[in-house]
Amino acid sequence: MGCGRSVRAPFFCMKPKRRSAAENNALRQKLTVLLLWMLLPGVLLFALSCGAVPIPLRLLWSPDGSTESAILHGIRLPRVVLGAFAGAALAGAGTILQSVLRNDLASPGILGVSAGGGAAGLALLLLLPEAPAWLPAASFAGALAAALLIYLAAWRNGVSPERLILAGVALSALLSALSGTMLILNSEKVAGVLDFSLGSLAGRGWREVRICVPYLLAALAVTPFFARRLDLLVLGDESAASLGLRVEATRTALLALAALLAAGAVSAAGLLGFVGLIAPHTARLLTGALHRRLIPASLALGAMLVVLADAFGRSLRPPEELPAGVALALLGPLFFLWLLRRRGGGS
Amino acid sequence: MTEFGARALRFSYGTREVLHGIDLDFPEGSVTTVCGANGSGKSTLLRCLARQLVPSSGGCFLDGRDLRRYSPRAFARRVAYMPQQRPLPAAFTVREMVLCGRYPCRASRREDEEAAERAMHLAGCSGLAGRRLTELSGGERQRAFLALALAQEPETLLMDEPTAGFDPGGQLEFISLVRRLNRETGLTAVMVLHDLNLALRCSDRIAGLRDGTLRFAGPAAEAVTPRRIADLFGVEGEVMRAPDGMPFFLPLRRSAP
Repeated sequence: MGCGRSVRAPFFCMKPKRRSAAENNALRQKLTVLLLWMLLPGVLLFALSCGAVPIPLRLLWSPDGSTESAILHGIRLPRVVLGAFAGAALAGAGTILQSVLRNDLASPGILGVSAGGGAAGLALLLLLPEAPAWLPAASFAGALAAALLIYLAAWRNGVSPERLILAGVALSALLSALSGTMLILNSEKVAGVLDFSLGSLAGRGWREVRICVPYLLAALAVTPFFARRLDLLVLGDESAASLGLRVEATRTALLALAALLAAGAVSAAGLLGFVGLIAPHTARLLTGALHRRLIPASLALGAMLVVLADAFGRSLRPPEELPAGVALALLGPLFFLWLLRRRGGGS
Repeated sequence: MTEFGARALRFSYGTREVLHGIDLDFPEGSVTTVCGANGSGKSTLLRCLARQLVPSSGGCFLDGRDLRRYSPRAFARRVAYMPQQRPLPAAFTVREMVLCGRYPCRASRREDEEAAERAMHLAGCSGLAGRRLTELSGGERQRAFLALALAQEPETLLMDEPTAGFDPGGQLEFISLVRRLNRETGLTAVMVLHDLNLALRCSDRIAGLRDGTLRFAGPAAEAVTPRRIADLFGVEGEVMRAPDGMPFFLPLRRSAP
């Protein structure tokens, strides 16, 4: 015996709205994703042409045995490939973490992968300076170990985002302190270490590509399949569970995936900061919050950002190089602030 | 005929038992409100029914099967749940969020989009589809969350304090929306409300909970006797009649414990 009969609220009379605006919006977002992916090959080619020596790009498909050709194929190409994968991986990890932890400030660093990979990489560079070939493996192992430690430290009948963030900040501080101690005690060897801890692609070649790219490719290929589950996690644990998601298992799987992506990126390019924070936010401003568009946009943006930063670092004052991490931190924030002011405020 | 309810349901937070054996059924197509004082266990009961909590003994059943024996998605296709508190997905527009409600359903993108539009229309928030959740008022937000639940196309909708923080007009508007959905689509609704008068106005049945035990379950009209209300809420007062014949309760003083 309700009162509904007598109360006639105005919104009952509303007809379903025409969908043209919504469809236009979705179409625009789809085109943006497409545009970003069409832009990517152009950016990669442009980056290949940047550097100390001007090299005509036609050498790419018709190598002629000249020095230029050797530089292009032996040095620049692997570097650009590695940079693109590292950037995409960091952007993917950042996208996953921001949604799983429901925190706009989350980035791959929060899982301790930067601090852990950094500490392990440093330890290797200082203790076994004759074995830099092991750097990718050591930083990868360190990054994953740190992520696992943080996950275990945050576990109590499941992992809440808040506890994970706090555990991540605490353990990262500890690991950074360890790195700092190692650096101070070995101050005479610091120079070789700097590139690694600032994030750089200098000296990376096909060897690193062969080590890092296969599992980065695998992890990146899996990421889009989690799009809907990431959407649900953003709604909160209870809502996600009531929509039929196994929240704890999904969260663990996604954290593992993010750790894998970030650890792979650390092993490829050292401690590149900022991409994992900025690329997902930029993508969100361009394509909206649904992950089926957000993920591809974010991956493409991350790849472009790192490759461009590296190209900029190489061409600024050859033959000296600015590490990609530094170039990124110089240019990235300005671009991001511009975007934020232009597109911010919601609608 | 769908059967949904709790049998000998017990639940404990650690060693503290908060539900002491609840037996309660929710007839198909009815609106039931669970009433009780703060801390009486009504939200816990609702969360057990929503499969959010694991009972310590007994359980909740849907068509004779324990909820735990349904897959999460299969259960989500039949029962939807609106929690009282949830993080605000700030980056989503209403339409994007409502689309998330289609996750448990195995349907094409096209069907999902049509169902989302239908759900927003039913919940009276079609006009808000392109707006971000952060831009909405409390009442508009709750209609968006209702649309999210309706997008699942459930038989039963569980709502925990759906009108908390609303002004009287907003409360009445939301409650009559639920009532209308119930009449027009046959949706079974179970709500937790602490406002007894609101519950009386909008429910077929009322279940009264006190300290984790069920004190009363039956037609709304029989729920309002001064004795029952004193028992449930620890308040003495007068049962009166509104001009349209509906009973309401006027609290006057705290009764002795």
